Amino acid sequence: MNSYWGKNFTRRSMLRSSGKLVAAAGLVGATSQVSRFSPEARAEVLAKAKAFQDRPVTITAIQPVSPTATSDDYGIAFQEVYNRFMDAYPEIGVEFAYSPWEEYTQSLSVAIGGGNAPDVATWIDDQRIPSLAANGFLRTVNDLAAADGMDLAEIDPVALSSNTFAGNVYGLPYYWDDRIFYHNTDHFSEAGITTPPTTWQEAVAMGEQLDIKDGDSYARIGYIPLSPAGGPGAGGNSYLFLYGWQNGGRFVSDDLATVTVNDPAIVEALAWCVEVSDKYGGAEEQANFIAQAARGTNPFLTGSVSMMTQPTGFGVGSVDASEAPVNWAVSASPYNTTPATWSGVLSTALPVGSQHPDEAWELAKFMASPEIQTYFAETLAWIPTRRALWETIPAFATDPELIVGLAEFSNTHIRPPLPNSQELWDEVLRASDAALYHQASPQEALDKANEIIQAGLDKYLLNS
Amino acid sequence: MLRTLMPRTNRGRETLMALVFASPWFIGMAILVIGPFFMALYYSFTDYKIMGNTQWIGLENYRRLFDDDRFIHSLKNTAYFTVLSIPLSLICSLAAALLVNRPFRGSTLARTTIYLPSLFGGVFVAALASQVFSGNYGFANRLLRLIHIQGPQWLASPDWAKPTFVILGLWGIGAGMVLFLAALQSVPTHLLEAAIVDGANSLQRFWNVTLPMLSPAILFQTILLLIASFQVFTLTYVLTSGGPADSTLFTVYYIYELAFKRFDMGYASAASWILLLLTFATTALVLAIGSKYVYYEFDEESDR
Repeated sequence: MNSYWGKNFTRRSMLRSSGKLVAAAGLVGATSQVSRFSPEARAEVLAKAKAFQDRPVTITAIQPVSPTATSDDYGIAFQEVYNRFMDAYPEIGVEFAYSPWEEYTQSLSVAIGGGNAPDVATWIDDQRIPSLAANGFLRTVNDLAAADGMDLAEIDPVALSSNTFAGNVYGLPYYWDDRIFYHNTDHFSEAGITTPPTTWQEAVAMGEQLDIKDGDSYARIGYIPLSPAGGPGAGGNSYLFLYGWQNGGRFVSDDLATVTVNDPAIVEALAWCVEVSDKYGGAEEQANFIAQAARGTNPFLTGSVSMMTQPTGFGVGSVDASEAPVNWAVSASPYNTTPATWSGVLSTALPVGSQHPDEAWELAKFMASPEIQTYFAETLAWIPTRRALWETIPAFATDPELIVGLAEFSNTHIRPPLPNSQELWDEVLRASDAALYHQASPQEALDKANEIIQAGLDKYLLNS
Repeated sequence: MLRTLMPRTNRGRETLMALVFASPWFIGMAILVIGPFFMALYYSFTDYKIMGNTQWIGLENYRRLFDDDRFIHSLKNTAYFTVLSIPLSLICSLAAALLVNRPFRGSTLARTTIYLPSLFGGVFVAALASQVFSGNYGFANRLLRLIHIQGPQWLASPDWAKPTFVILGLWGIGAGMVLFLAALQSVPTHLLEAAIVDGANSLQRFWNVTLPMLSPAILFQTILLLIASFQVFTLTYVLTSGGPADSTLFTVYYIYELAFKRFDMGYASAASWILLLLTFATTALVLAIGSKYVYYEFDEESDR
């Protein structure tokens, strides 16, 4: 389970030897500084897109990436997918409408409500789909799949369940990730540590070995599990969800009717996160540490933090592409009582009120197809939601980061697809912050969150 | 035909032409402000969620608001920001106006320099602030270290985030300075000369002559700042998303969350109307209090 890949097998050295570089994506958008696409390749993709203008039907795809000569790889990769779609469907053109990720829900809902719905939302995550579906913004796709002979069973059931609400599927997932544990192999060698931690206690103890103090403050922090939301914290892309599950906690009952974010196991997990945070001076001092030591960027990239949880793809996508890449290796996330990680899922969804629903469905289906998921895997190191493809992609058998990431899918969780899924996310983060900043105890903060999320859920259940 | 519709008097024709030229504003006002204004009032009594049926639920949204701790918290944050930022902005903009009121070499440049930042948008200010107030690495704490002061964590601290926003509000004092400059130019010189003849020193002249003559401008500026403070949004949206730990959760940002993250449009409309009523009531209170202290030189009642 806890695969370990030492210095001799680091991803960077493999990439150098193979001469290939791919960009990977966390759902929060890690930015690659070394593009997989040459300027010529970019120009070719963009020129081809122009040649497809003036089709009999043109559909609009809303997405938080844009393809330009200098954009990140995601925009170009998406345009290439649209180009392939337009090659396959000579009657249909695809144009994109850009919306920043932070405003994506707002842009989409206002456009749909205002009668100007885009035809297809091509980059939408599992946190937003249940909430948008419950509020009537999205069309079901399970009926379309059945009518079209598309077998949804080919898509991983866990990934698909993230888009399933009230028995219907509202999006076709084409990519997902999971959280794994990254550590700086140079720091480990200096401290004489030979294997990464497998438990929380080991992670904290090793973190202390890796700390470097500079007077009263820290020049390097070994490990902090959780940071306040909204910034490049030392805790990485973890969130309380990860630690709640790793401590055997449950955020919602099986029937999705009772919210349990104040489950004693989750309260205990948050208390542990606060305890470790306080050992490093608390949330405010860590913010200062990030600003000073890491200059506002991810502190793992600058060698200021030795161990960090991140989504699969972070290593090759961000660490190797950073200005002064560090040597790193990966393992499964250390846990307390239960081995666990969690996944984010990207999907294509169909807004209600689309002008071209049939053509939009064709694009959604195309993006979830084996061909496109393979393209994303080979180009962006994105993990397909069609598990059958995992064995067909060579890098998945040789890339240490992907091997650990793929193995961890057996322990993965998804955020519960509640009708108020956005509220669940916001309130859990708010409770974490309140506890980390000592505005409330972990118990008080999670009790309050539980009350708010349950009230939102009850309101929906009462009206439905 | 057109000729018969034209008013016969010059005054009537001028009024008609004025209305014709102003009509784009009236149309825009009706469609973009008055319409949404009353629609929001209607929606505040419904469970409007953009999609689906809208049901009339009476005062339920308003009842919920009074039980909503976060809404109350956002109002407290907004009040805190308002109470601190208005006096500070008034004092700083008046001080800036007094500084550049008298002609001196470079006074035009000084006026331009102070006014210029107010032309930049909130997003620019927020982007700059994220660098200036970024813990010990930020410019603010580096500056403080020069005088051996350990600065706070500013935007990362629940205790300091709101005061940081108040400081950021000073970015726009240039607009207030221009208003006060205009008012200072219209302070009658004969009153100041009379005060000099009576032996008043400069502080006494400022306190007994200049300040009373500026009082209408101070009241006007106070009301502008009051309304702007109640609507503070951009800095929160760009810099903190209401954090850390809800310390910068201002009411308009909370309304945004309710409307566009939770699709609770009816509830958000009710919150908007409460905010509007509070703004209206506070403005009326300031006007009522201000009218007792404001001196209008040409006020007919004062002249009697």
